[in-house]
Amino acid sequence: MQNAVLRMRGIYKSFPGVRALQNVDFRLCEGEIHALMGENGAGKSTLIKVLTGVYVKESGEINLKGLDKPVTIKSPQEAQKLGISTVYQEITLCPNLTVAENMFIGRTDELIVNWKKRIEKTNVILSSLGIPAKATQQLSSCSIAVQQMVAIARAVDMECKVLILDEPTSSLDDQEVSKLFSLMRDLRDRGVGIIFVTHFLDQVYEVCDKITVLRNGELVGEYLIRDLPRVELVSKMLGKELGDLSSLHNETACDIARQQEIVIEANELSSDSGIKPFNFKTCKGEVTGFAGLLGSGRSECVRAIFGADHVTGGEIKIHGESVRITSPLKAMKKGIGYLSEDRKRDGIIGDLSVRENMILALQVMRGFFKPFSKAQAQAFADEYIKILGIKTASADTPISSLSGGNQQKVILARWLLTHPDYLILDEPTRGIDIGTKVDIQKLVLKLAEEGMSITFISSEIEEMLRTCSRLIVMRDLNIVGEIKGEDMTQDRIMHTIAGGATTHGDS
Amino acid sequence: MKKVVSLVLALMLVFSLAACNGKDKAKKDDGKITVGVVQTNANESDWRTANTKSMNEAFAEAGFETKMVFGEGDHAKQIAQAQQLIQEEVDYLVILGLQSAGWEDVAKAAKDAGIPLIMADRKLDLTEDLYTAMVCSDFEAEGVKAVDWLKTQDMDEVNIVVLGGDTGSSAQLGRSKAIEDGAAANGWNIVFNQNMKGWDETLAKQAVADLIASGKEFNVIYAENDNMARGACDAMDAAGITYGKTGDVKVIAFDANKWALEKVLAGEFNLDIECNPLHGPRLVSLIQSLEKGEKIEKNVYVEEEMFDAETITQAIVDARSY
Amino acid sequence: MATHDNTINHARSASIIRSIVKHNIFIPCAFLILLLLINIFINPGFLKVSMGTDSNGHPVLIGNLINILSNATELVILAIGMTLVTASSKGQDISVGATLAISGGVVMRVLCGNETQPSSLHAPIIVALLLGCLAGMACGAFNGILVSRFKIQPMIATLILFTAGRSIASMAMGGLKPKAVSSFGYYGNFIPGFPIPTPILITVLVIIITMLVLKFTNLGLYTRAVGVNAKASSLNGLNPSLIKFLTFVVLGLCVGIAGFVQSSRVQTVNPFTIVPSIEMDVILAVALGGNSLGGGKFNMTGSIIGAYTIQTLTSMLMTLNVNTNAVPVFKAAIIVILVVIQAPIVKAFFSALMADLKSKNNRGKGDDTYVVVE
Repeated sequence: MQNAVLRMRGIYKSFPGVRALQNVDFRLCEGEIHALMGENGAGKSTLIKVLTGVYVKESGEINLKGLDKPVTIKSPQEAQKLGISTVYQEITLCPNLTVAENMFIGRTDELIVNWKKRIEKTNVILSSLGIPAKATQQLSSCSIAVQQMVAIARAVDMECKVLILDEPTSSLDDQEVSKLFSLMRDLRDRGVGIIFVTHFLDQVYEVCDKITVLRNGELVGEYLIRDLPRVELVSKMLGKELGDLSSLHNETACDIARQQEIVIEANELSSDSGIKPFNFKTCKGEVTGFAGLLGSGRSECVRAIFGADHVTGGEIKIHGESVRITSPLKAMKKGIGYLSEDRKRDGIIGDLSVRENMILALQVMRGFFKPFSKAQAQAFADEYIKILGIKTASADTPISSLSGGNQQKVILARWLLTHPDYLILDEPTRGIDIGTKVDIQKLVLKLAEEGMSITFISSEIEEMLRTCSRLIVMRDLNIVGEIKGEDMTQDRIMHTIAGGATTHGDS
Repeated sequence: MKKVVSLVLALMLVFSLAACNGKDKAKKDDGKITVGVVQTNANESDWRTANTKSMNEAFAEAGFETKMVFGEGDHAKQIAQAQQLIQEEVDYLVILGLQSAGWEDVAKAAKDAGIPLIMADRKLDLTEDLYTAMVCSDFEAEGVKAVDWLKTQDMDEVNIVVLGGDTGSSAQLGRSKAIEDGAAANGWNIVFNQNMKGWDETLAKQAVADLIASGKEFNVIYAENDNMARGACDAMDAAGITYGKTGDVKVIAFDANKWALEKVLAGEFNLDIECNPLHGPRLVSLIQSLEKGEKIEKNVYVEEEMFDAETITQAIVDARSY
Repeated sequence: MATHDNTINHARSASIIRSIVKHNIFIPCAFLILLLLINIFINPGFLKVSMGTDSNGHPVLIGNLINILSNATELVILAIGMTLVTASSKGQDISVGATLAISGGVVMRVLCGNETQPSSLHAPIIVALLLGCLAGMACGAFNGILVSRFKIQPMIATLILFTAGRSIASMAMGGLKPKAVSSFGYYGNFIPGFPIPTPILITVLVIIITMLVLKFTNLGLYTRAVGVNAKASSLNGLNPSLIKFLTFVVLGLCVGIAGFVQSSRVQTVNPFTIVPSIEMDVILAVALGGNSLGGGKFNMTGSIIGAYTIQTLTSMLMTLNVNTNAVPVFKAAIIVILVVIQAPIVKAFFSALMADLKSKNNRGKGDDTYVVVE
């Protein structure tokens, strides 16, 4: 086809016990946005890391446009010199420096720095790319999206031919995402080849031209976006037909008998996180959801119930009995479990083993002087590795070396082990592969069936529509509505979040 | 605006400091003699405690005002403290240095300020023109006394264990040099020669225990202070090796604290060589002579006594004040 | 058939060797053994332990090995506490030398009162031990509060007692340097009639208690969890501040015990010279044990072996009678080698090398099978 800017052929890479890449080909053309898709563990990250010099391939060939010989990339610096730039999900710039300083840091080719010139140049680049930031602004004062754009601008200014965007949209809201997309399109029109890695299918279809799918370290194929409908993409990623996802639905909306049994009731509860006093209750076997934009207060609500933030007012009743929850430990002892929002920061204990991560919560409840024997702990770990289908070399493997989805399953197992009456799942499906997402949703429905009350929070409204029987909608740290039964439609929720729908319908 | 304020504040600070200095000068006119003393450590050993006490008492009796500062093991700190005392315009500066090197700048500053500099306890590396007087222990001479004593002992073979003090202190340098030279001249073996950090008893004990365990033969312990000698004796006790007046190993110690003299009297130490800590009275008479404009002897070495287990008496021990 | 069995045996022994080599205390152990071998090479009688009698006619064991085991006591006990502090707080306590002086000083003051050479003990020894431990724990609690409650970096928080501790010890002793009667020396030397040095027994006891505590409580799990991810731990019901604080108190207790043993060795304490720069040796022991000084996971056995390694090294340089001025250089050179070989980068290099060798071996074996089949 037209002008390939990057060609990778027959790439092999393995780690002890794992063949991460086997005979993978990849081709990127000038002026295209190319999605790299696959479940976690499919080899996307490994391929990117081979390309950026973090890993060295075992065999295969990498050709770049303008170079007649295949290249070997031994370090990220070398990749940058060859015109391959990467922007990661986490901002890798220095927040304490100004935008202009960030643009030029680590690129000193001149002895004497003319900052005035640099600032001017930065402003020119920023405005040409339509990035709403000033050169002299401190980077940390920009929003995450703008910071990401600055990182992209820096890459563009370094005359990159290949721009890799690794999950850039995970922490952005819709508006910011659309800004980022227009920047990406702009760059595409200038001839930059962009590799886009994401878990959001919608975004792939919105912005990409081509898709390359990987599965289990092997290439499945390269497709034009118009040739590959969503369902087919998903089935190619999973390697099986995905009939059951669409049929997944919560039919166990609280029946009358169960409605009698209120498990948790919060009255005028408030915490030091700034959440306005709120009321909430849930009955046995019910799946509730908190919907709202990032920062609308959905996490703050559940954190207050769990005692993760300092509770400043209100009361909680469990099974009708008033209790004081001042710390997570007290909540846990009252039968509440909380899978936190940020898995990496608040969930996993990175260097500890899968087994230790799993038993931690139960162990803490059991007490300081009653440790589980190794055999007991191992039995728990084996059981849940099997039940949840966790892919890990052994229970002794450090959790940090598992893929995101499997890490999340371990954390889920941690809370299931405590057998809570009420389980809070805050964004359990964020940043994990589609197969695991489906597994988790199915599990939620199964647990509810068995009588566990669950709160399920997700940024993807469809997921909540599928799993929840009742949605609480939040805006600006307030509960602004409650939707259940037949009212639960995407439209209705969107309107409630945006404001207005509670008073009148479509205007 | 902020910068102006901070500038003004800084200037005020400078002026107030100058004012303080002025006050110091005013004080000087009341006729009292101020003596600045740079001491090593407040509490490093019994010897040092006696040394500090002697100076404080003698100066107070003579009606001097004393400004004593402690380096606490820090050579650089001592130099800074000396400079500070010169700034404060004391009348006499007495220095008991932790280390012998690096005092030239202090000496020059004192000379420029017209402050007589007196070295006490340990000799500093200074040329004659840079100091006024010296009242020092001659550590090498102390060591030589021990060597001379050892020569009279009529031994077939001499195997010496040297337990040195803090590396680089003038006491360690002088005492170690004396025994090293003495051994070379007389054909003695030095089977072990290591310095113990902080003149430490425990370290000396462990070192001697290790030697015994390794099967090294020795018949003289040359410990550069009383404490290390005691540590060495503990180690020999534990291994059943006899020492002292009636034993196989001869123990030589330095400093001659009262408790150590009791050990000499008991025959546990063979020899203890005094290093007189009572510098106070000597310094007072020196300063008084300088005040009167009398001629002084520039370099005075303190007269040190030697205590032999064969000749010591209860009376000598009782007369010891520290 | 026989060849086949051989291959299996070979493979099995190879895998055992590999699992030994991969074990996280392999490198610390290997160093210690190497050092001991060097010692034996230099001094063939190094391992010899003989029964002697002390000046009172009691039987005692004499030997370099005995000395190392006995002299390492303070280092081992402190390394145990330091390992926990390092894991939980991601920093080190540099005040252990100074606080050891304090607890040793308290022990002496309790035993001797205001006399410099008392003819009898002023208090039962158990009281002195308890008060010494209390003093150590109080210092640990002070450091712990600064670190856990006020979020001061451990190095800076403990700098306070590092600077002031020895003077405080001197004050606690009332400025005196008493020498206790020799019966107090049983704990730092020998109990009359029993030939093994008491410090060795105390070390063994402390190690056993530590291992029991780690086995029968969750101290290890909690410490590691808090050290790796304090935020996540608190959402699992742990109180990270409390656990950090506790590890400092435990270190304080270790300091108290070590101070007691140390003061018993010569039955006197000079607060300004007791255990000079031991804090650096302790931190080094933790590092040599393969522990990350950045906190998180810890390896207690490694730290203990690290402590013995350092004591062996110190003792070796002492008995070799290396020129005093050159001793620090020798020590530094050996430590550099120990630390560098344990660096992740070097480890990765060696494991790559091993994998390479293995794959070559396998290829060779493959050829053999082929021949047999033919």
